[in-house]
Amino acid sequence: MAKDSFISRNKTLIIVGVVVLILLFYFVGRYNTFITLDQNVNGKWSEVENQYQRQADLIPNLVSVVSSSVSVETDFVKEIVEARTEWLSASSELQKDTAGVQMNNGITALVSAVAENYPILQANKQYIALTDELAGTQNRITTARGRYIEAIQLYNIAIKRFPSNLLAGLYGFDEKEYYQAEEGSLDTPKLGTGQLP
Amino acid sequence: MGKKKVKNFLVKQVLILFVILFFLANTSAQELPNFQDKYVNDFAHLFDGNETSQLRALLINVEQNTTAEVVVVTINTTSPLSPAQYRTELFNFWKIGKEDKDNGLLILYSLTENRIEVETGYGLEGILPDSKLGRMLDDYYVPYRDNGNVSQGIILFTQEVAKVIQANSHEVYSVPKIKNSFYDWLPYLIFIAIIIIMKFLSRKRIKCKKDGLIMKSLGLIGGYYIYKCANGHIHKISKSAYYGAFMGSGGGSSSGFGSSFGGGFGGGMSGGGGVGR
Repeated sequence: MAKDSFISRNKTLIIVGVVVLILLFYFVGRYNTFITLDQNVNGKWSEVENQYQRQADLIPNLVSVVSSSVSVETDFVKEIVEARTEWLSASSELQKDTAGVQMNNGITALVSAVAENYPILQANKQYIALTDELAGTQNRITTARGRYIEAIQLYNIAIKRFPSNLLAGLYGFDEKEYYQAEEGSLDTPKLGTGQLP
Repeated sequence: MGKKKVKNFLVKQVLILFVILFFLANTSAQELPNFQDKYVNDFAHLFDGNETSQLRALLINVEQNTTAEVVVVTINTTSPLSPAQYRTELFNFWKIGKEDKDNGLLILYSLTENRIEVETGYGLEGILPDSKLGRMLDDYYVPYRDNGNVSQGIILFTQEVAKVIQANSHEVYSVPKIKNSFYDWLPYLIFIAIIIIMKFLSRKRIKCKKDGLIMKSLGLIGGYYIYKCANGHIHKISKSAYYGAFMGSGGGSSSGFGSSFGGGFGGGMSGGGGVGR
């Protein structure tokens, strides 16, 4: 029975070693999870930004097609162009998103106004193509924002649950906020329903 | 007495409200149907047998030639979602398209709304941008819809889409997916390996293994387990070794990753791109 005595002699040491190892893996594993979730949030945000960018890129075309064909109310056009400028110069996520929502609403308003007052444009192939792209982009923005918020929720749950929250504090991961004030703007924009006038 | 009644009544009302809310919350999660077929899911019974098999043959062909997964779906209504939301949700619920290429395309017709919605997977957005799909719908689908022949319009549109995909299949953009790399699993593997090694270390060699296996344990006597081998020899073993030997052999389990169920979609994603009429 000399062989099995190695285990019995070092039992305490082995148990302590295993516990330490488990803790170590837990610490490392949690850290990696936080990092992954954090990166996930960033990735989802850049998708939101991409789609806003796509929309911002479409605006000059929209404005030129609309203004060349009809003398549409300049207020609408001005509003969109302002919102676009604001979006381009915005730096924080909140600013970008707020300006983006304005841009979105402005486009919807312009397209609706055109539909009501200038049916001729409705037959313009270039205009139809543009509104298709805009509608698709609005739907993409809605989708991307939904996924962004989901990512934040995943992240927040991970860092707030016990006992992970202790480690999250230690590593310096803070809770992320998503704009509660902006909840209303999360509704699908009218264009996004594809219900183009 | 009257007060108590009112209180009971209120409690009941609140309970009922909760039950209703619970069911509402549940049903809203179950709005989306499961697919019955990889190519044509005619839930609204729009197509006749001929049309269905024609569409299926076409779409099977597209998948074989290009691996793109195109699905035609008809439903009664998209409510309570908007048609555009519904198509995005359904696309990502079914995961249409191959996972590494996101080359799925959903053509969804909803009867009540009389809307057609097309959702493109990320990988097809390049060759089928929204404006192009919109123009194709205007050219091939809308005239038939306006004459009340929706099914013919859908078939013609689907054929056009198939042509574009087959002509440009080499341009399908593949999306790099972030996968858990092997190194993420390494710590866990090492951990499991350590446990297994520990188990082996603590496992006592059972003397009668050669003669066949341990047949019978006779019980605990003076801190040792006594066991009897198949050849009739009787041995004793320490308590911890006994557990290592007798218990360590059980508990084997296997788990395969359920990658896909028969004839399912490939795991593609979309981001809300597409068009509707």
